[in-house]
Amino acid sequence: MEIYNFLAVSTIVFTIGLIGVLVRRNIMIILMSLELMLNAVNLNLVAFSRLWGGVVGHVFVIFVITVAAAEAAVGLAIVIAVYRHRESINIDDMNLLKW
Amino acid sequence: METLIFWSLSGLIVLFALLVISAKNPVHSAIFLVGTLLFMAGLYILLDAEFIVGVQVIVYVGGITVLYLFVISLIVLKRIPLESTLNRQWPAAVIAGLAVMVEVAFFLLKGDLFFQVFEKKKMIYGTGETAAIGRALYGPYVFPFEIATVLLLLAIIGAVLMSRKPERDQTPES
Repeated sequence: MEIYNFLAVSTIVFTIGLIGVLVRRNIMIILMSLELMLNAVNLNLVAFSRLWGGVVGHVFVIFVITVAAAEAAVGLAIVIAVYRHRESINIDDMNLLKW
Repeated sequence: METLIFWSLSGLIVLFALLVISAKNPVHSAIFLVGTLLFMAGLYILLDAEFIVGVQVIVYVGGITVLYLFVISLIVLKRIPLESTLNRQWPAAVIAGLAVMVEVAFFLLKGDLFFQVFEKKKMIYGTGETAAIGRALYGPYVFPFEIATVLLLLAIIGAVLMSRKPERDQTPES
């Protein structure tokens, strides 16, 4: 397999995640789209790591997964806190910082 | 054979990713996300990254998506209005996303002109052994590794602080 196949899949999944973040109103699905984008980046890193024959990409994938776990924990805690105050997980209702 | 596996896996990944962002119910979205992550683990097997496959299945599928499902079940879904799941600006958002995809694809295909990072060579096999990853993690990358532990500790404290029940106002009304 050429590396371009993997890069193409990664690009498509990243775009789908980006469109999901921009388009949806449910904040849970927005967080899931963020996970999709992080996974696309991971696929890129592993493919490049095999192209260059090193192990650095795998190490970075492990760090990205760590950051994704931390992001999921804090993000879902924020979702629960907002839901307690506003009774909603619609992103259009979270406009306290909007001027 | 490898080509067949690759194309079927990527087709399934793209299909399930589209289902993730188009499902009405967040529970269905989470289930489709599990499918996407598992097929992505299949692509990692094709890339000889066995340790990453294990981490992906255990941490992502077994940890993060279960956390999502847990939070979805904590939130009462009945009160969420289901009439419109999309933003008002969704056509502009789709156009912007596709523009980003075209940009990334352009730089992937024509990146040699600008960065000179690609060589037209076949990929090297057998680079992702777990022992090499361990040596790298505890050798030159030990400082980022420690920073990651601090980050996880901060995430735990932050999650506990954010999701704690707000204390009732103790101020007596005067």
